[in-house]
Amino acid sequence: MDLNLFERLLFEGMAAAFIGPAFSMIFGVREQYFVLIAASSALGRVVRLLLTDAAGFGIVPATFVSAALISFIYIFAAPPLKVPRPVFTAGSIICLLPGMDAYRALFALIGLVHQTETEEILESIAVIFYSGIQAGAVIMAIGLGIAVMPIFFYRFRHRKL
Amino acid sequence: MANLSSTSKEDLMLKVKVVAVIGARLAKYGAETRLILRSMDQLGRALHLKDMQCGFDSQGTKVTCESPYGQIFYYSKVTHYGINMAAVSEYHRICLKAEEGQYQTLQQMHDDVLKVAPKLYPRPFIIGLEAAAAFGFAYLNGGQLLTCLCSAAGAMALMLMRFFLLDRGYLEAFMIIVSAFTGAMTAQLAAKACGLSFDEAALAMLSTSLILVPGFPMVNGFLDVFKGYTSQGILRLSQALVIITCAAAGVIGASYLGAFLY
Repeated sequence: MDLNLFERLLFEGMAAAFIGPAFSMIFGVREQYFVLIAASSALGRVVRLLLTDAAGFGIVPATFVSAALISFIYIFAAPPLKVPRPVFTAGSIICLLPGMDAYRALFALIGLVHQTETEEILESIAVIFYSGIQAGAVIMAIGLGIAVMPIFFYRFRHRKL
Repeated sequence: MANLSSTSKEDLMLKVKVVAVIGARLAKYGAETRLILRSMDQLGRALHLKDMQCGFDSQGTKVTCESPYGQIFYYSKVTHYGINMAAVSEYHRICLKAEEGQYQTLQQMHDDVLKVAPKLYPRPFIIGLEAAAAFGFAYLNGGQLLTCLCSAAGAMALMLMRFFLLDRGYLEAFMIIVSAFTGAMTAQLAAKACGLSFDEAALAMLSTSLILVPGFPMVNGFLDVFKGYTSQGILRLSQALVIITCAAAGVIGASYLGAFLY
């Protein structure tokens, strides 16, 4: 599909808004939080798209900023609702996962078993490294974005050792 | 029933038991380590337990407290894990209510603990929404409309198989391998029937299996590691890795069979 940036923002935001609550539902999140999860899912996806396509960021830093933004929002939004933050954050970051890169790395790995030509083998190894590292880096960026933000706000409880 | 500051032996034993049980339930339903320990700590203070110490590992929770009758100890084993965030939220709320002093007696708290039940949605509803999610995943990864529809069909088959195996009590790893295989195979067959290319079929297979991503263990694992509970965090991340490997094994199996179609 050939869409301009605005249309992509709109459609990808809508798709993300579906994915977040659907994913959360499997893990028994209450329905009254679906609207929030849908909104933060869409926001995360839209922010990442804006950063990569409009601001020229790489996919990894853009993913980190999106995940950190989602985490930051729920540091303030979750306590008044008396709900632990992972209830919201886990569903919200799921649409940031690197599907295609993980898939390319996996299939290159499978292909490597059958290849006999040196050129094909080298090509597969390059794909495994490039896509595998890219997928791993995006997952790390999500994890860091979600986990690092709260440690700026929460203090260790036992300060008097 | 006694009030929360009662120090009779029976009441103290019950209090210690309630703290350990709530911790174990939080663990069972997938709470992060810091939340489990903090909730147990809050509850212990609200119940006026003297010198209470609590611990948590992958097997269960343990609580000890000092009393005029000697040390009281209770161990609550986590029999099996099944993530349910509604139950986690409810137990968390009970701990907050106890900390705010909203409970007058142990009986009130005990009743609230017994009332908590995991939230389960109707299966047709889950299957429908997961199909929509797979459609969305395919779209986000650059799929055409037909590819998205094939992903949705695959996700429906995957969820049906998952529920079928769940009802028969199979182990999670086996359940994920078979569900991923069924979903990916269905998506691939649908793609072939629609005349899509191998790349589009592969995208449909991938989008179908993305609904198996272990989001909660992953997020909890990262949170645990960064909050200093390294061993628990690594354990959770390892569980997530096992689930991802199982899903990948299912997709690989389907793609091998798919070689006969393309």
